[in-house]
Amino acid sequence: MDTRKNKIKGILFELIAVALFIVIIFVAAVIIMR
Amino acid sequence: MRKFKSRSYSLEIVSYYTGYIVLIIASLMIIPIITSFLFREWTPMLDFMISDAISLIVGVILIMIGMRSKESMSNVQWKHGFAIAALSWIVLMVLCAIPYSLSGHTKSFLDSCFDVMSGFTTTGLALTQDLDHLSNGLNMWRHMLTFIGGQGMVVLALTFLATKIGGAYKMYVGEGKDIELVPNVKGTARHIWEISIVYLFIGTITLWIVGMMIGLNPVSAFLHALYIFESSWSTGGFAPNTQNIMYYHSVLYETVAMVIFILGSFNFGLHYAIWQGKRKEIVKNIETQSFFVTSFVACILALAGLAKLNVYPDAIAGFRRIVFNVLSAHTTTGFASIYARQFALEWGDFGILIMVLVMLIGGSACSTAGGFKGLRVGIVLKGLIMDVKKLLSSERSMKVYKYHHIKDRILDDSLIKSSAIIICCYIVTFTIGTMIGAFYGYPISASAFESASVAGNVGLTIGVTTPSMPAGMKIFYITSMYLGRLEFLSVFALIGYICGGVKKVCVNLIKH
Repeated sequence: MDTRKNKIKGILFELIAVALFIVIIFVAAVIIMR
Repeated sequence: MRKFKSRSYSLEIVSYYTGYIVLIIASLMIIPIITSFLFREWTPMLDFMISDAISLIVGVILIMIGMRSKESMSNVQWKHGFAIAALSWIVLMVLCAIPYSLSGHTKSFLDSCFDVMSGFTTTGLALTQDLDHLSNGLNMWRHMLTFIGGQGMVVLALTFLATKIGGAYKMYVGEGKDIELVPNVKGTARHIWEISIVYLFIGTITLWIVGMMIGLNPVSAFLHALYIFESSWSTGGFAPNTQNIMYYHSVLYETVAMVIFILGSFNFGLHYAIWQGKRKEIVKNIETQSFFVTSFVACILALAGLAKLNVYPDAIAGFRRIVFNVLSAHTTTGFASIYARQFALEWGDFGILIMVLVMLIGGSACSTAGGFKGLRVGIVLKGLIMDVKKLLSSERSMKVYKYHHIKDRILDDSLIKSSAIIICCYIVTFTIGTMIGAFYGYPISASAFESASVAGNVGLTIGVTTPSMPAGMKIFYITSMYLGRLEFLSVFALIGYICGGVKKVCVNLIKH
């Protein structure tokens, strides 16, 4: 059960980390292309 | 006599396991056969049945050749593992190209082989014509090939066969993968597939919902979602239409694909560690550090360079056209959100230079991505820093330098040397490809762009890769994709193996 919970948390963590990285680049794009 | 016998055993070992791998991949042709049946595409269905029969016969013949010696069951040495991996890819390229050729969508069998190698190596360049009117069966096959190639065909075979194989790890390494998620190879292969299948469900369902939101009918949205997921996760770049990702006209669809291909470019070891609860790995790992730094810097430089040229009017356009393509190139995916010629006509030399650099760097080792990998870039940079520190420190001081990749590892000279050698091999392949392009009359920037794209298994094109390009370039590009994917050593081992065999035969002929 713990393993399954860890997997789900791991997947969510990976998705959030990548989404955050994309958001940071998007903010940089907004600043540069103003 | 003993040496000759040993060579004979070696050939049988290679033949035996290559046959097994061929049988497993060939049996997967049942999926496009079922797809063709469901969509009542009788001609493609027949094409796949013929191809499957030929592939199964070839697989059985190879196994039968191998079974002449009982030694072929065990005794797998490093040279065999490397040769099996390299040979399987060539045999499967030819066999899997048969349905392409029978479909009539390729100009020649060479073009069919090009597309299959492009799929297996997750490059994504296509010479198949009239992509918008391919049968569902052939589309399923194209995207399946790229999905299987991303995880590795030997990895797939090992999932089923590892208990029978003594030297399974040697074949696994031969395919350019070297990380052990668990202490045994079968478990590692299964975990690699588990990670991919879990994301297959999540990614396909997300893209399916987004597809229906942008107006595709449910069946079409599902098929597009499945194909785009397989291409994104495998950092492949194939799409079921000529306009590639532009077909969907949706920033949401592009962003979901972007998230999937970034995740696909991560090391399977990293996914596994995070799933085991080691979340800090994403920050501490030398590969992710390297990827996040180089991709962020490349995006900023490309945005600044193209902002100066006033190509795109606002940040949204910049994000969709510049950031998407730079990240697609860096992760070696190859989805393009602009037309091929726009790179040449609008991006300027600076933009093309950034793209060439990121295509060569590529994604992570032991992932679905190509290029010379962030791990090697990180190791060589750390090695450089280590040498400078050694020069500046006292001659008597002894310090052990380390880097973090899943666990702390010692940074030694042999590791730096092997990383530098592989990087050099990529650069030499890239240079030769650029020279061949220039020889055939293409501009140097276009030749360099395309050469980086094939050597790094990216799949973006500037307009050079077309069915009408010279056959010499097609052959070189196939070789370059193959070398890049297997990271040179396996192919060199196979060449050495063949040369050794030829030499032996010649010596025997002269003696008699």
